[in-house]
Amino acid sequence: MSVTTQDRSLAPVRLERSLIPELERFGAVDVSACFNCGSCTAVCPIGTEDGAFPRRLIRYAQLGMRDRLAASPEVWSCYACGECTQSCPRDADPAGFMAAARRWATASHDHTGLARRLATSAPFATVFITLLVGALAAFLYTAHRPVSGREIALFEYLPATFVHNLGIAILAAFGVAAIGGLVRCCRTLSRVRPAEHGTRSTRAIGEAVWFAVARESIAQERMRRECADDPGVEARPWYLRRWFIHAATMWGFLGLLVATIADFLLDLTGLKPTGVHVPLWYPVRLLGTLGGLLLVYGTSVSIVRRVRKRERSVARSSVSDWWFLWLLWFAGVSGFALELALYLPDAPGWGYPVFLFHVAVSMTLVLLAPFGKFAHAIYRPVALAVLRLRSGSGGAPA
Amino acid sequence: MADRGSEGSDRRRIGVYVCHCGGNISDVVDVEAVAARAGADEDVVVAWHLQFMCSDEGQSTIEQDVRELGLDRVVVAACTPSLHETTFRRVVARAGLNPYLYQHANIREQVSWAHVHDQAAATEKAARLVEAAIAKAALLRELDEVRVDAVHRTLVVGGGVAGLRAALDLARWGMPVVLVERSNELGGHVLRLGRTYPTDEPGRALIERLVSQVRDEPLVEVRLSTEVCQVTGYVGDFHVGLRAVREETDGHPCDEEVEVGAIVVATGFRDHEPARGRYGFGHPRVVTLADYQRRLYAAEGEADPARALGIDGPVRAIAFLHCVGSRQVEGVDEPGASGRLNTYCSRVCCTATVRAAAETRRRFPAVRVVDVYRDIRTYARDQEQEYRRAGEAGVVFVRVPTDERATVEPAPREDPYPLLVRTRDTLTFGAELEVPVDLVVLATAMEPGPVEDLVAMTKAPTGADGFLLEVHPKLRPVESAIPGILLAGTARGPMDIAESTTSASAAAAKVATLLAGDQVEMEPFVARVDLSRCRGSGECVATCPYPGAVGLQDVELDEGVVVPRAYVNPVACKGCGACVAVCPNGAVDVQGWEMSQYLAMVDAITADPAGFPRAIDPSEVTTG
Repeated sequence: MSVTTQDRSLAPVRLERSLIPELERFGAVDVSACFNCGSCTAVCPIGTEDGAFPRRLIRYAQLGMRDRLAASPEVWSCYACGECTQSCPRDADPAGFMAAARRWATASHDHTGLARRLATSAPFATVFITLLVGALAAFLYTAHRPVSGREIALFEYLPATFVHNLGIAILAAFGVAAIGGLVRCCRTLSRVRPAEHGTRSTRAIGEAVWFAVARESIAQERMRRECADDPGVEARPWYLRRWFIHAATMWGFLGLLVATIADFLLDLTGLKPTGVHVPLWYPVRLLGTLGGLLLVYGTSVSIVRRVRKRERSVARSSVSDWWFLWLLWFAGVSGFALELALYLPDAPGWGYPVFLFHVAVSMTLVLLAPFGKFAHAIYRPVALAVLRLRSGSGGAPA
Repeated sequence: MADRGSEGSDRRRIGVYVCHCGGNISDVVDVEAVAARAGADEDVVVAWHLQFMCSDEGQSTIEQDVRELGLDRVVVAACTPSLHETTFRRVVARAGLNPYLYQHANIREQVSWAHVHDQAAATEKAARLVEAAIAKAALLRELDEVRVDAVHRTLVVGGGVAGLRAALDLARWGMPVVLVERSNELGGHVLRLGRTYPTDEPGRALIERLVSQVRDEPLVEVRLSTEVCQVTGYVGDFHVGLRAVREETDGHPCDEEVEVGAIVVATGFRDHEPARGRYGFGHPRVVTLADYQRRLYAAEGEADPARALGIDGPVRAIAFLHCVGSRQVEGVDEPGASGRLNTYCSRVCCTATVRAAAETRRRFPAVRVVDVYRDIRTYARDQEQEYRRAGEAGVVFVRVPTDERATVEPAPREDPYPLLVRTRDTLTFGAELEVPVDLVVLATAMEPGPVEDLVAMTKAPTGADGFLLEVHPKLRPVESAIPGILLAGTARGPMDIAESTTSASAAAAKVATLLAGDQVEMEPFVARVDLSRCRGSGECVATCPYPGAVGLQDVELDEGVVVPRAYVNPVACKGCGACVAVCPNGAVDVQGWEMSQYLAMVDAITADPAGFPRAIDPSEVTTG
């Protein structure tokens, strides 16, 4: 059983600065039209008596209650189906607000200011990412060596150790940013409602983590079960449903990441030096190929949908949506272009530039992950676990 | 049965009609049994029960029966007489009978609605009330309306928007008007309102249009700085004393007297003044909405909020507080200067407040505006748009729990803002808020104007809220209980300008129909003296509360002896019956409600008619 969490027991809030203009820069449409009727909350498929979102969060924004908005794990619950926006009597676009709130939260967990600029300025994001990819490619190019044979030999062109070391450095940078963000996120979450944390049984914590990581993040239970596609398109096949497109993108990306790391580990253990040709059925290669296929499929469908804007969930796209999606797509497609170059009879001259591009894009993707849309993979499990612990249901019908 | 003086072939021919009221009565009362009991009376020719007596079918049944069966009295047992007595009198008149040969029995409010849980007793009570009505009907006499020669001039008290509208309408129907205004200018509150909803027209422009039309109207005589000091007379012929407003008016005699046929009271309202300190009232940065509107619209081109609003210091944030002095709750609110707790909604403040809030945001985008309310009631056409616009303009709405009130207090010295508004907000799950502001605007209530003197002079009743009272809010909304005294505008309760002028036009139309002919007709239920029994004691004259209604005059008896005897002036008499009660000789009666008729009713109610079992055994009824 749960009742709506009240704010009445918390410390008084000074109403001094609205958060709306700030959130508008993160892509929210003007939510000042919202008159707090709660329709959005009522229709939300994953809303509960306790959650009271999106209304509660919009309210925090209207009153400029930064701390409480940042400390609301509900920011991360939403699956962006867009049903609330469709039912809003004031055209205040609660779904768009939720997306903007996530970008705002991501930026507020990042002290470098990079996340903010990447989310609020399309020119900055375009120029910065292009330069970063170019710089990485140029840096890789400085290490290239002449190739002897007629066939394409990628790791003769670039020494494997060099690529590996750079990769490790990039992963380390990612780790520092991600852990820093995570710490700040946890601190924010516990600042506003400290009393509600109390001491919990190990069992309850274990259950919350299981719910947040396994059921919600890996299995994406509620997204498959509750968050519908647009009315009228429910009947479409599973491979076109929203949850599958998201799953394809996510598993494709993870598959490629795991394959890349596994390849490095094989090299490290001496089982298979990097660059040695293996047949398609070789497990690590198979994983990479399948991941690549899923990633390219998922991102392609997403890009087409975002361009066509026919569905309520993609009615509005922000700069954050675009740059992350394009980087993923380029990483996947350049990977396959590389495969193609390897198989073509005469080693084409464009094989090496595509290789440089592929590695640079993939590294950019990992480097920028904590500063963009990918950040939800870091913060969401934590937020859901906290929510689960607070309400006993994690805002989900258990 | 009481003697009805209707023996043998001379019996009355009464028709009785019992109404089902679509189940309102028949679900509790056995209407068939009631009709049957009535039909058993010797004087009753026909007794029906029908679905709706007030319907066309019900009315034509009565008309037809009167004509075809030669009925000479009609009894309808239905709802309260205040609802449909007049309806059935008209039906009887249409059928060719004197309309006062009609008697009404109330078996809905007094029976079916009151005794839902005891159907047998309810039926018995209804039957007895109907029998009483039959007994009275048998003794009814033909009566004629009291007629008074009508003075065609009308007095309009109050020169605000309602008074101006009423005066103008009357003049356009060709009726002379005396328009009396206590202050030295026409226009009242509207003059200082700034821009008004929904037309956005400045209040001053509105008033100037009306005033210039009134000034062009030769039939309207405007008397500024003048007040009413005495009212005597009655509908059709009031004598009203007027005097100039002076510093000290007490005891000053009237300067002149005007003769009018009707009085339109358009005395308006007074702004509520909160108790000092309540909502920060008295602090220089706490103003009323009316004051704020004046400031806001005084300098429309000024972009600097501090300069435009005449505030000394920066204006960064403004809070608007709704329901100050309205919808007050005992135990939560304190009464203001009037000493009365205003439980009513003042109706105009929500729209006016959200408009002022939105306008503030529009003109000064850097100023934060917080609107603190309990409920938003922007009820009339297009007014919801004002609420919506305020939201879109970035006005932040904060909702106070119904049993709590926001507080306004000076901020501590180190605070960059002068005032702090504190409240809890139900929209944010009860969060406690502290709003630092530079200015607080109080949407104060509309309170009854200073009409105590006028009420004392005219005896026009007021409601518990202190506003003048109409006869019926829906059926007779602009008439006071005193014939010839009409109510226009906010004298009757909170209204916006559109509603005020609507009621003013309605009051003017009522006056026009009232005074259209040469005579005014009034109900004949007034006292009548039986000279054969009057001994000239004068008790009635001493008791009568209405000046000029009863008096003594010399009457010459047969032997040339002159004795004082009572007489009644039917136009001044209100039929209250005080004289009937004090007359030592039983010489006075109120027409239509004579003593003999009352006695007949009591006899009928207490009789134990043979053949009908009594539902209630009188021996079982205990008192005390």
